Amino acid sequence: MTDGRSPIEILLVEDNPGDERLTREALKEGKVYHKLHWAKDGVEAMEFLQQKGKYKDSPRPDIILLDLNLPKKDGREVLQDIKSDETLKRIPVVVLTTSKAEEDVLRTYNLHANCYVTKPVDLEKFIVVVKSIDIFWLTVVTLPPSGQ
Amino acid sequence: MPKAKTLERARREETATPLDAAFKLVDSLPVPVFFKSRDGRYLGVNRAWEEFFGIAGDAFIGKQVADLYPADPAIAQKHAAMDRLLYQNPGRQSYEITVRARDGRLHDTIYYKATYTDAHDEVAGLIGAIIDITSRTGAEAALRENEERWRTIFNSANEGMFVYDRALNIVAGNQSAERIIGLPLAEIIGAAGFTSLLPCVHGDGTPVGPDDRPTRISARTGKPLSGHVVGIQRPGGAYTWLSVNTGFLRQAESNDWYGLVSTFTDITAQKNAEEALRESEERYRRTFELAGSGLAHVSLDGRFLRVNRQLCEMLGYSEGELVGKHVKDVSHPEDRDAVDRPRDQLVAGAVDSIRVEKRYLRKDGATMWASVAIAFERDANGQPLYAISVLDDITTRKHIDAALRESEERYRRTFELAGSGVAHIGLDRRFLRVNRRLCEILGYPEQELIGMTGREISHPDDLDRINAERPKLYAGEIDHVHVEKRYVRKDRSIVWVAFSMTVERDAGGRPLYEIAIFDDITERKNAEAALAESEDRFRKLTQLSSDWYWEQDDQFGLTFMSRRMSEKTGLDPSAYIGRKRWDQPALNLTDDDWARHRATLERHEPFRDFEMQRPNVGGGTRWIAVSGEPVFDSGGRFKGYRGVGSDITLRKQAEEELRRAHDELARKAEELQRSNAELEQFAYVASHDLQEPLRMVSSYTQLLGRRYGDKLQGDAQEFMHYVVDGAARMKQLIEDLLAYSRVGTKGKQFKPTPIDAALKKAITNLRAAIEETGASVTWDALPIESVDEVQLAQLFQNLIGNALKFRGAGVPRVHVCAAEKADHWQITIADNGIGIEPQYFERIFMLFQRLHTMGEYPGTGIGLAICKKVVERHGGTIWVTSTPGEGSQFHFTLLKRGAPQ
Repeated sequence: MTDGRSPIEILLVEDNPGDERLTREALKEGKVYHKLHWAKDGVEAMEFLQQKGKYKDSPRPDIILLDLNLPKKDGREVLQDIKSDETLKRIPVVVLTTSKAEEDVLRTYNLHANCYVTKPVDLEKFIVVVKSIDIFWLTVVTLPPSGQ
Repeated sequence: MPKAKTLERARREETATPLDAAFKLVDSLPVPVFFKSRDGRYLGVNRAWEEFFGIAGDAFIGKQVADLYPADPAIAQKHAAMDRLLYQNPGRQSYEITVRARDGRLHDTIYYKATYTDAHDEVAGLIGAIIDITSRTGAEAALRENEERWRTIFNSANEGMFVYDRALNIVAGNQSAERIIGLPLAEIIGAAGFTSLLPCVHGDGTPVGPDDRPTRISARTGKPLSGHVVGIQRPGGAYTWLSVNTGFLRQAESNDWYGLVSTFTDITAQKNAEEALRESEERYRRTFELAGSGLAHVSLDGRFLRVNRQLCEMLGYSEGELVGKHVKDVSHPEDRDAVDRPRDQLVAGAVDSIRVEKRYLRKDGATMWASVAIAFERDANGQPLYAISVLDDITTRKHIDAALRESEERYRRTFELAGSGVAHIGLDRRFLRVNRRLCEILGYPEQELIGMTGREISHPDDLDRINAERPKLYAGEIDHVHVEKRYVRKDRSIVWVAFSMTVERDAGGRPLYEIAIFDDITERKNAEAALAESEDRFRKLTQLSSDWYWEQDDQFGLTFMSRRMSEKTGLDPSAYIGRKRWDQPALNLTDDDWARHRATLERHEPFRDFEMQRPNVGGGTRWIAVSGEPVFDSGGRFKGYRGVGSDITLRKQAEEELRRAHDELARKAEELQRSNAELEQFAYVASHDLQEPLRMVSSYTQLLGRRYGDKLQGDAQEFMHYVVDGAARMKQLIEDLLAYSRVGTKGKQFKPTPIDAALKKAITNLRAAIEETGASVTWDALPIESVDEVQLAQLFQNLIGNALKFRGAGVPRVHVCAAEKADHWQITIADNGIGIEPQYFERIFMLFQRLHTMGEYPGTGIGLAICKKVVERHGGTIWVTSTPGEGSQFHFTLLKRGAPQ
């Protein structure tokens, strides 16, 4: 439970600007005070997480929304990297992706994603999903203490 | 008293003068005195004279001497003569004379006479005195008698005797000595023993020297010899053996000897006899010892007295162990008393000797059969002294006998019990002896067969089958005859016989009789005939078949190939006849292949479809396949192979094509696989990447509507609706396509699954729709089969979903049932929906085919295509039957994959 004073840092790893905008809009409709960071591909995502380059002053996210199909570095790889990094692995990763494929689901969970959410095509549904994430992960769930 | 008178008288006649004193003296003298006148008349006698002669003197006065000796006139004459002699020469006279005295005995006397003169100095008479010297003469006489006695003994003795003086010279010898020594006594006497006269030897043959003459030995030792043996060598070399005793001649009361006496007997014969006896005994002993038989002397109470070496060896005991042992102790328990009865007869004297065969037990426990001959050694009275036993070891003979008996018995039994008929046939061709089996075979009783000839019972056509061979048999060119021929049994039936015959010969090789063996081979002959017929039929038959028939002999050389072979193959069979298969090239076979085939043949095993690629003469090849079975004759002997062959060239070609097609198929399958994989990947990628832009379109259009919807005019909303709807449909299509593609690529392994489980899953998924429509879904008992449960559930879901979707007016009812067929199940999903027109029965299973507009019924039209794909993946088929307006029945088949019930 956040204390309401500092915003929840959310990292969205998504290659589609359209989807980014949608997510952003959906999150706005949610109630949680947050700050949305956006990485366009897997490499950027890692740079952000590792606070490299232009991201060296970036905060550590409290939650990562990760798409699987990313250019440069695939979402699955990113997931693997996150979950094998001592400092990053505790950050909840919500895989948010279009694929319904069972093997994706399996693989993702095997890589220790915290949960897997399929992006609905329908906007309303999409908003509901994002809100759900919002509510669940950022309100219900106790996030691991953020320590640098 | 008469003597007193007499002398008195005498005295009185003369004057009593000193003569009277003399007369008185004379009268008292112990010596008989007498007076005789000139004319020989007794004038007077003294008392002693009266006592001596036992005559009264008075009575005798005036008598003459003749009157004194009535019984002995010779004595009287002697006296008278001496008287006269004295009167002629008056003086004194003495002479010895033996007179008879009063005791009737003769006394030796010395008569002393003297003449006396009267006053005128004229010889008046004589006076005599008698000195009885009988005791002296007696002694002398006794001595002489003695001497005479000894002389008689000496001379009459059978033994030779020599008397030796102290110097050991012979002083006397008797006649026997002369006889024995063989030299005249005159020569012997005076010699220093006979040993000095003739070469003598001791008993052991060593020469006798002068110092060891018997007499000298005695003289030296002072002891008499007894039984001292001396031998005199005769000119011819023979010996006269003497046994010599010596004795010392001693004077009475003296230890000193003055001479020796030797007595000797001729013991030559005795010695020779002894020698002969010793030799005989020695010979006997040697014979006893060295006899080849065991010899024993057995006491009357049955104990061994004496045994020879052979007996010891036979019984395995040492001599020391046997002697004294009881015979019964070494006899076999069963034969201990075998000798008793015959022995009693022997003892009784009924027989001179007995012979018994009995067993003995050797020391090592082995049994020995012996032939024992026993006789008694008897004494002079015929009483048995001991038994002499002669033992011969007949163990071997007994064994041979037993073996022989056994062998004969076995032979006899064999003869009788032989499975074959056996006969002894005489040289006259008549049966001498037949066994039971032969009687059975020929059908004649034994007593009828004996004496019959083979000819009499032979089948007329086979009369001389044996005779042709007989001369060779007898000549010894062949040692047996073997023919197969027929005989006619007593009941007129024919019997085939395998006849085998040899000739039994004597020691000299001359034929004695024939031994014939008969075996009934009628059945075999019949079987052979049947077989030949059958084979003939078979061969004819094979001519008709498309395959050809071949035969091989026991060396695997081809002996026969039916015509068909060349007809079918164009190959020339004569190239193969007589050869082995492997003598011809086969292009497909290696040496190892041939070796394996040959091994099969060697094992006499059947073989199937042995393929050979034979080169054609004109080029090209032909494929031949042969199958064969081993053939055995009635005796079980391997005779060869026979079988069939076929030309499989076409088949081979077909096989080749098939193989190629198969390879093609495999390749294609591989391609398909690859293509499938590509397809899947494509589908996957497509779905993802296609969905992305779709979402954008859809989402932003919706967003647009939300944000600026109220700002949009007219049919902009409507337009946006179509856009969104289009996008949604597109998404659905893509998803369906993906699902369709994944039926094949994402299918799981089939596992035995209860079909109703898949059905239930589908129903669960359709729960909402079922509730909404109030539908009832029922099913019958469904089997368990090997299926992909997920896909089958999908299948049911699609079909039942359709049934609900295309429902009719009433409550939708769906029923699932299964019908069992031979190798599959037919599952039917029947509904009471709107039904389908027959012309669309095929179409509906095609991809994206719809029979209705989206407005009428939603759906992409892929459901049934997916169903079809699922069913086909399971190896089944799917079809529909329907009555428009009433309902449809969708059927699909599920292969029975042997799932456990």
